[in-house]
Amino acid sequence: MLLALAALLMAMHVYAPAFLSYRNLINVLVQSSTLGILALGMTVVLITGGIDLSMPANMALSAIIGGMFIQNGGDPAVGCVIMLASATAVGALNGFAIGYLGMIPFVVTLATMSVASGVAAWLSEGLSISKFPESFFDVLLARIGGVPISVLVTILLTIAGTWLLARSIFGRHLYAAGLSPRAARVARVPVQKVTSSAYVFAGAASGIAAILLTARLGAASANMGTDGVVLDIISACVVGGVSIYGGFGRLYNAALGAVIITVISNALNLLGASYFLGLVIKGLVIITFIFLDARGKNK
Amino acid sequence: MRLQHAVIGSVAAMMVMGSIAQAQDLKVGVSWNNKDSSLETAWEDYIKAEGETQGKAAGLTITWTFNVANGDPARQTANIEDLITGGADVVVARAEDGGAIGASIRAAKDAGIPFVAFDRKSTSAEQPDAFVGGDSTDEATTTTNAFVDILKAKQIHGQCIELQGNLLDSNAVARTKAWNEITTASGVIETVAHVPTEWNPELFRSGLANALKAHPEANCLFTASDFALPAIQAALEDADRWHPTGDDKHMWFASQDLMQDAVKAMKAGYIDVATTWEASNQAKELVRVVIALAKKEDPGCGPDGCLAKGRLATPTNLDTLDHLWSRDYQ
Repeated sequence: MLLALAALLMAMHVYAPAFLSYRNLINVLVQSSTLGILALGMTVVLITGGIDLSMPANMALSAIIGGMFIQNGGDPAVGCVIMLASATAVGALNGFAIGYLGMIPFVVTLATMSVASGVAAWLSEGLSISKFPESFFDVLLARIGGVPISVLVTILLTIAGTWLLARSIFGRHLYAAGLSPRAARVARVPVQKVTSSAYVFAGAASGIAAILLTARLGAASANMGTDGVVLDIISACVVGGVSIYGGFGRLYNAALGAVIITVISNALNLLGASYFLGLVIKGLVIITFIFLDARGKNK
Repeated sequence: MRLQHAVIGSVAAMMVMGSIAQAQDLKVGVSWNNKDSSLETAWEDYIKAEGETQGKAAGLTITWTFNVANGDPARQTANIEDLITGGADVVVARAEDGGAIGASIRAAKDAGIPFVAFDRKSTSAEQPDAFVGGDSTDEATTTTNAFVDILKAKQIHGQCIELQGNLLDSNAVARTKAWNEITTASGVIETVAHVPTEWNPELFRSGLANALKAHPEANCLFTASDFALPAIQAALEDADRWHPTGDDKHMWFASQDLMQDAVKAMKAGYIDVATTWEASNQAKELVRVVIALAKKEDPGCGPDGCLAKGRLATPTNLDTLDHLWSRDYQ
């Protein structure tokens, strides 16, 4: 994957010199930070063999709830907590339905996506929530050593998540539940609890993404969570080598996958390529990585 | 030494000439919120053609870069950042989200690049250097005046149903205001029912159906936009009022925008008058504003922006209107 990224960077350096400018590289990292955080959440769910299609809609809903609170004079810090809490609550709802009630992840999260999108549009009346106080942006759009906060948050979450999955009992249980739930139960892994926790984690990731994206856009709206975002999240995970069959995947690879997906979009934009060509290229990249994943599984 | 001076002089001359050549090139980045209808294709064609014509007149070679956000405001923000990084001299955006576009306006301002909001205004605290769009007030005024004249000529007292748009939308408010002011003063038309539709096709249908039941005497209709014509047609058909002009059951029909379905309906005699929603004139105005901003001149916009007027369309002149996107891009 790193080779693919390096080849892409070299090609871009030749065909679009602006690509390797400091400004653009920071742009790419900022653009990939929200996607990266969502991909971290999705990776944890994919490892359990599930999927969470509701993440973008959950992100939009929590952004609107917290955004409305801030717009109406609420403390921005409390507004951020509301975004995080509401998204985590939706994740917990998914987790309960899938982990404890044994419902199918695809159907449950599809339904949650529909509910969250509907509530988001209903609450906001289809309008965007904006005009937040400057104090909201002061912290979230700040830079430390020239690096934007959103990028630092993504890096920290990736490191912490990677450590959690590699070193903790929860991490081992997660992989075990994803590889074979039946075998995991025999080994006394609390599969229900672990599966539920994965969706809670995904919900929390949606909440963090909501906070960062709302600050970046200066607005929250129902259309923050379009269908195309789901495709980008899953693409980032698949490109990052996370298996859609469960039981395998690394968080740092998913974060790198998010960077690659963003670089593809950025590169196509800088080359002035057609939007439709971009869709074709993205689709081909995903199919290639799914093919490699399937081949690896068969071996 | 002489050779050295000659080399330095040549390099300096090349740099000056290079900078002159560069000043004549204008790179414009356009960010579409979406590209899911023929309207964007028509806009692109008109913009490129106008860029060629007006650019030549202004001594500029304009190159256009278009990207599409697929209905995602975050993608649009990223796309506009990419346009800025790619060296755009002017950025144009049709916003997916009027609030979120503020971040892009700020980014362009930080980079010292003029920003033009196209078709959709910024509702954020950040405002663009210019807004280019359709003139909703003028469109509704043109249609209503023509409609009054038609009914006056036919000696018909109009008892009209008004289908309003979303009254949170400034375009819808401008249209309903113009319709009501002119018709009230005309003495020819009275509005028997005002139907708010929130731009929702379902409400166009159910609201019109209810109004027709409550006011069977209604003989005319004004719609703030005909994008929902299939819903309007369905309600009129249910009430047996979908009949072409000349038929006793014909509902006199004034419309706004003249979208693709409406072109066919007007040709068949169901719509009597409309003002076109002008993709071509908007493109023309956009290019004019872009060139003015690139030259650091005041584009001379009004308080509501640089607005392109629509043209009056009737069944008799429909085929002769040039650059009518809804007819030419079926």
